[in-house]
Amino acid sequence: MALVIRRFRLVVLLVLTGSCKADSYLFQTDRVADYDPPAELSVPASDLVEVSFRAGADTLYGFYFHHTGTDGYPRTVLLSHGRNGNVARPPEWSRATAIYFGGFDVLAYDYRGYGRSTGTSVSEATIDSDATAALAYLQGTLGVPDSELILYGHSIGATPTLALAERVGGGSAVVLESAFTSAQEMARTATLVDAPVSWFLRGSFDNIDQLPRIHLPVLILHGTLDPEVPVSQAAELYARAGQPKYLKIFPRAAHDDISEQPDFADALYQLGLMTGVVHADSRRPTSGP
Amino acid sequence: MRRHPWLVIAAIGSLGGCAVTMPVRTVPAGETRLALSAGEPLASHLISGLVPYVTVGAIHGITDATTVGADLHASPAAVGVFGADISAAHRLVAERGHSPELTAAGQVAFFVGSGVARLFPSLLLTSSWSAGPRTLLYGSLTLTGQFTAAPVALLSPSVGISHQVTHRLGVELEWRWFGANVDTHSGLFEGAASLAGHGAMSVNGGIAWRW
Repeated sequence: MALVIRRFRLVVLLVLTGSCKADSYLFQTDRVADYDPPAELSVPASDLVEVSFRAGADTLYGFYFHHTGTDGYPRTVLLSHGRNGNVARPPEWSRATAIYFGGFDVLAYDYRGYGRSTGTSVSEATIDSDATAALAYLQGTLGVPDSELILYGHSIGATPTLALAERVGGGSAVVLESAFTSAQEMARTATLVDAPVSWFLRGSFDNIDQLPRIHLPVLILHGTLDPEVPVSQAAELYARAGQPKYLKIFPRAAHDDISEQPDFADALYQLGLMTGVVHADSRRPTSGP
Repeated sequence: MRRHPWLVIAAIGSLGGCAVTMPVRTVPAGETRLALSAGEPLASHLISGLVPYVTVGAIHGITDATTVGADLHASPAAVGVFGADISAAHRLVAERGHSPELTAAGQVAFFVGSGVARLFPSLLLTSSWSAGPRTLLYGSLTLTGQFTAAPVALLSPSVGISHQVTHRLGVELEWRWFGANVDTHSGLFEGAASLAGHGAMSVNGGIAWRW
């Protein structure tokens, strides 16, 4: 009984001091013992390897899609996914393979608590830390130079992507897919009233304030039918980004299925142009196997 | 159905949009009623663990035509936010025959947390009809203002029923279309609680105890 009372007092204390926040509710982890990628989007075995690396006390897992032949571009995409699923499930797997078949190498990793990765994602800080660890793995173990690096974030993954872009500086490009402007603005779409997001979250996920500090080409992709992040937020992000920048709107896409759109190949072609690996008169890459 | 944790935040953060905090009619001079209100968005089927919006407070009749009230908002306390409101209601026209009683009310809701404060003033006009000796049917229109973001005004129609169960105990059930003038077809609710892509519908209940 005494223990119950002490726990109750602790809960009351946490509430009264405002320590109770909803950050951890953001992360809808999909843990698995082993990855089982969809077979229909098969990547040649020689070009795909499951990887793992450390992030503090935890181990993060993912896949490295690497063109071992001469058909790929000398650019590697560091792919930070959204708050659902894991790298081996659609739509994350579909996105990674579409980028790979578009000619780019891809490192797709799971934040802690997702897929095979150990630990728990609890905040903006933890996914930032995981993205930093993935970048260190890409640069150190895989030997990808900054100049060949493309930072790609989907949805909530845009936030660690932009944090990396500010730090790296020498990368090749940044891609934001279905990204929101800020947690504040997303909270407003739900509550309708201007309740400060600091009341609910410790993190601000403030992509729109981060963007002007990025000095890399920025490609923004968004679906008109996105039910979670209004397409107007893509226009706001585009307006705040520095040059060079490109906004691609997919009229039939929702939040997670941009890479499954026929014109995703156009976006990858644009990415090739922005990163200097294709030229305007060259043929467009394909987006499927 | 996947969990939608944003709705937990939204439910906490709807700041009174899911609560019955203003009286349908004024109460007699000198009478005090304690009130408990709880409500939640109709999108609750999307999630588990929805936090209902709860307020506790009291109303008091200054005169037969004027009632004042105050509430503490309990749900925001879960995230360390203090919320309260004060209100005043005035009977404009008494019910006569088939003509409804008209009541105007004003409310100011105040929230402070993490060093940030917000003030939300509201104006409310309510038409109510007697549907028996103990029952009122009513419809109301609320205009809620905010100073720090667009839209600056939220229009919220509602309809409800108020029933006096015993001499002391009254209950109220209300359907509200919160922010009906705001496009919500996309966003964290994914339009799930919207009507024609606008606002967010909620069901609110209240209990009043005559002191």
